[in-house]
Amino acid sequence: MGFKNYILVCGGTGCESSRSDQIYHSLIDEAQAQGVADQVQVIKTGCFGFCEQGPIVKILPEDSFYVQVKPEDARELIAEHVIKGREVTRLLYNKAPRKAYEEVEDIKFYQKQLRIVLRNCGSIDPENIDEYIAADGYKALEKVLFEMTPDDVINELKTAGLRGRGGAGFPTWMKWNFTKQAEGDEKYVVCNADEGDPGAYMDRSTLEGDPHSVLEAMTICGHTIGAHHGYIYIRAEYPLAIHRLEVAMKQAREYGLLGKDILGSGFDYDIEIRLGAGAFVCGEETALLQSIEGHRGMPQPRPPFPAVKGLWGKPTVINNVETWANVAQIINKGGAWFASIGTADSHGTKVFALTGKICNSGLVEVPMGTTLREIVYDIGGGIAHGKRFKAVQTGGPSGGVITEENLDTPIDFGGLQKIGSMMGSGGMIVMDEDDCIVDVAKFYLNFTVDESCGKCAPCRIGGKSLCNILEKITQGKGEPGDIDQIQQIAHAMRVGSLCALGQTAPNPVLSSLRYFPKEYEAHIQDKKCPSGKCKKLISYEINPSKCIGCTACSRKCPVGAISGEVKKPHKINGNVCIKCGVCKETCKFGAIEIH
Amino acid sequence: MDILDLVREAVENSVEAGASFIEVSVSMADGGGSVAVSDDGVLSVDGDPFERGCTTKGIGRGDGLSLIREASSGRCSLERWNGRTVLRFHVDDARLGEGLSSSLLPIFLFPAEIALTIDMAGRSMTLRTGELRDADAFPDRAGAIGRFREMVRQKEGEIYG
Amino acid sequence: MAKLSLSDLREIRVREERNLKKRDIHGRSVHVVVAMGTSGINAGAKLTLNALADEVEKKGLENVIITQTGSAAPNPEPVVEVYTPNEGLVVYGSVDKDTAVRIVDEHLAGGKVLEDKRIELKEGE
Repeated sequence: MGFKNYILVCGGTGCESSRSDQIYHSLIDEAQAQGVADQVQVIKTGCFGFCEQGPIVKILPEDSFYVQVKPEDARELIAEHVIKGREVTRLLYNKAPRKAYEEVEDIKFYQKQLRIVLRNCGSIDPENIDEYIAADGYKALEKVLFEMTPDDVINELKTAGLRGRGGAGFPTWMKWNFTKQAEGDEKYVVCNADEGDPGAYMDRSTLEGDPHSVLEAMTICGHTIGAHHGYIYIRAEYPLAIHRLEVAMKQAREYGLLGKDILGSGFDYDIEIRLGAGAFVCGEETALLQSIEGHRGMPQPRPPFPAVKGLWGKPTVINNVETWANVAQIINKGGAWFASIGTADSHGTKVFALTGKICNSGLVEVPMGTTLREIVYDIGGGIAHGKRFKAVQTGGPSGGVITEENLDTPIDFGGLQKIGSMMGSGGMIVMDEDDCIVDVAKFYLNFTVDESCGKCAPCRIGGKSLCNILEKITQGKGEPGDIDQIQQIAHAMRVGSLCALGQTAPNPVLSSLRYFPKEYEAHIQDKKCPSGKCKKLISYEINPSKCIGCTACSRKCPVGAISGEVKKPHKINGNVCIKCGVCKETCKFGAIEIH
Repeated sequence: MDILDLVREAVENSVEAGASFIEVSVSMADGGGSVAVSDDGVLSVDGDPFERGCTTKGIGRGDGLSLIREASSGRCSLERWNGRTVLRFHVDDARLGEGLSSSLLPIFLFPAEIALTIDMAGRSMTLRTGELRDADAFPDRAGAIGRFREMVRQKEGEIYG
Repeated sequence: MAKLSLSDLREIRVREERNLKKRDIHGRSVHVVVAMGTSGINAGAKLTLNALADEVEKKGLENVIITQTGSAAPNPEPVVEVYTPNEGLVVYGSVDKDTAVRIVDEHLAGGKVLEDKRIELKEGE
């Protein structure tokens, strides 16, 4: 095959939703129509991570990075870039032709990133096993089957110091070792792909972009601990990831990389997919195992830990997607290599889904120890619309906020815990000055209350009570004793809940209380919302010295709350106003103020 | 002179005209050489294309065709034929330079599909960009450069016997 | 399809690796650009290009990609631009055959810029 150009089209869920699938087909059709089908190969890849600028199309070997591409652009890309060899400047990220030696890495978004987990995302076709094999795929499995003993594998993971990427950071080698040593005729390997934190999509993108990396790692684990069956528990809301996994498993079976007598080693191993129905608590490992067994997904007391008594009462290793995606690289490059990346406390990289009020939202992978400032400002490009940074929520509904003063804290398991948040699975939601911290805490708490399975009282009743107090505060009915009560209930939930969902549910409230006590006080004592978010605590008023009486706002107001004569200052009737904010958006003179 | 140096100028000229497929034929006979270069680029010059400095491409460019006119003592033509631009020229005192692969390397390094044929006393050789890619011999990096030179050496045998 | 043996798997890897490598820009992070305009050729750029190519081949530097560009007038030709992640962009002027070999040995393989041959690139327009 002698292709002149390779066109990589992002096939992640984000870009697919903005028609990257159509772009892919249009490019193929255009190449055909313009007679260069034999000169280009169009490849659908996994997520490039730069979702803010999607859909992404990259053309090699020139390494031209095209952003926000539309299906209509296919004709021009083929005619100009492929046939004439001229970059389509208007679609380039920086809108200017690059010198031959400049690379995609020069785009600031990618500069500080280091891709281990996402190494293949955006560079290979996830639906073609040959491409994965070419990118050193299944090399680690080869090594494990023919050159290493199970203890060698565990020692390599120990040297690497890989810790679980699902949130808690438990050493992976220990999990594997416990399960290996556990007595039992049957053992199981489970992949937790029940990603549920609001705003998090690291696992989805990894599975969509590089499904074989997870299959290979699970097979390595099976051989190491003596298991012959693996399960991938994935939420049904991830249809593309499921499809890619199914294709990958089918191809692996055809090649005999899954199934009986893998590569002639005598080792049998296969993997099944189990779909979750989207209950957040099923991401908790014991609840997940219950769900695989066909029971209602409810957490079980630990111990016994899954390593001893897991799926169907048998010893089970359960790791999350990102953890799995590191394994083959560690076997290939060695534990010492992995340990050389990151901080003393946490080795390797971490993938974060950067969302919220940020310029470049997307998927980023950085070495452990990178500071939040680097992620938000250097990679994320800072706060959108020139607003002021307020805080970042990490660790999802179990984590907490990180404020300006801690922006330079190196991000690793220990570092985040010290400042009252946690690594979590990697969701990172950026807030600006317009976000009300009480409102955000309420949002997360509502989420955990909704998702609580209801089995234990501290979580079921405590969560609801906390929610009620926060609701009261945002309604302007807060009382002086509320803060104390929050602390008490939170304590009870922490010590009394059965699983991490209940134990960590109060975290967003507690951490925001710790860093923004004044904002809570303003709500409770002054009945004011400083960021103007809590509707009950604000009123819209027209500044008569700025209003020129253009009547634009009164025409837009959906409830007719604004009155006044033309060319004279208008007035808002506070009894009728529903505080929707339309008038403020409409006014060109900044005459409408929130009090 | 090495006639392939002039071919390189012609190919560069084609590439700058936006050509993606360039056919080159070189015929050596009686101590001279005739060249035809046909491409699918655009032909957009006002006036005499062989005039020195006739270009829109900036300093140092646009000398290619004037160089060809000088070397060929004016026996050159540029025409549009069947949707392709065809450049022909003849040089009386021409030879293929020492080390064919060294002369061909800068020609094939252009980002276009090139098909080049050399005829000499009834023998001929052809080299195509696609063929280079198939053999992983596009000479822009280690390994491929070696394969490129080896391939040219073999083909050289086809014209020198 | 028949199940793979270990050697089958390795065969696929070698075969497919070649194709993938052509797309791999990350591993080929060093760019050498030779100015090959008419004026560059007159100054001996063809010899320079070939010397660079041969030395890169000899040293087996797989992360180097060689390309050519148009004239670099009004700079002292032959002009060679070298871009490496560590040293960034370095431009060399009056690069003859011997200098080309030195660029590969000292700069590309050794990471040491040839200060005596370095020039400031003047934009011609």
